[in-house]
Amino acid sequence: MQNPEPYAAPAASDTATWQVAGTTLSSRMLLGTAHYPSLQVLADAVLASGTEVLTVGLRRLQPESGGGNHFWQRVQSLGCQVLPNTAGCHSADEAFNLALMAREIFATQWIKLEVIGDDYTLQPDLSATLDAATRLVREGFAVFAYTTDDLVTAQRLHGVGCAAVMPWAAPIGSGRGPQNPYALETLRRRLPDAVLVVDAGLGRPSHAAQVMELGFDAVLLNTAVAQAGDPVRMARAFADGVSAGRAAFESTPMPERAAAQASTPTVGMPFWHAP
Amino acid sequence: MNPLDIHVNGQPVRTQAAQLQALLLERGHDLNAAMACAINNCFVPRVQWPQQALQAGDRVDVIAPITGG
Repeated sequence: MQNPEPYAAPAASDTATWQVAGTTLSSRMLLGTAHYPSLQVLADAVLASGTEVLTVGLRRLQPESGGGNHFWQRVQSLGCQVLPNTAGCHSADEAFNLALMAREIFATQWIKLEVIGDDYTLQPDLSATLDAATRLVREGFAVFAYTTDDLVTAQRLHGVGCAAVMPWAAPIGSGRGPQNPYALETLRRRLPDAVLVVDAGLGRPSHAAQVMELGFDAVLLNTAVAQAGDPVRMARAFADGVSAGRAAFESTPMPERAAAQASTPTVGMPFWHAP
Repeated sequence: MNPLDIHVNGQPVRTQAAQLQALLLERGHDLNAAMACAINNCFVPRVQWPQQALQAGDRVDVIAPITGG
């Protein structure tokens, strides 16, 4: 069997920005808002990262707590596009209803679809995710679907009209980095027209650079930034990693070789094979 | 009217409210806050809160924004 052609980088003139769900973005880094030491650190990390998209969640409200309005007002002040999630849902029905509630609260059609199938690994339930995605797209949502690196599921999520297909690199919050780079590379090759965002499991800027070198459109991060010793500096480091990886992808890395090849020309080498 | 025994955010509640909006006010919610409601796992749009009748045994969820990844 022949090796498939590598996924080709787009022309450089097309790559200063990218588009998802009809929106043009400059930053290729989407950022979560959980687990920061404070709202001020979150705000500083957002600024340092240059992100334009922030993920948010929804939970039961106790009136005496004042609700999530302080948090929500702070997020609004950051001027980013909001991507609400359905985190914690375990069925397509739950995710569908939570998405409707999110649309009313945040006044956006964007939804990060998560339907969890296993509580230990937080691995998504792929059939329920596909079911919910189909219904939500029909309702007019721009669905950002969290999935594994399973190729056929990714093809089907793209096929039903998801705005972005978002495979994990490793389980959520594990920080382990890409566990199956071959599968991620295959997704990119087989879905050249899909918006592909690596959603979970990245822990270091080098992980982000690695998946961006494969041609992924963006990465979505949270824990790796929020729980770093210095979240603000780490946000900047991830932005650099994403930028470096994308630039490398667009520059077409050299092919790997099985054997060494001298960098310095050997022609004219003095003492060559001298007795 | 007889009080209704329902659940609100998973907690048993006895209420005099006959409609969803009255329940929210009874429980001290600010109706202008960023929140959304569901009854028995089905979303109830904000415009329907004043008329949405409650039944004994209903499970009401009131949700608000939080941090998320």
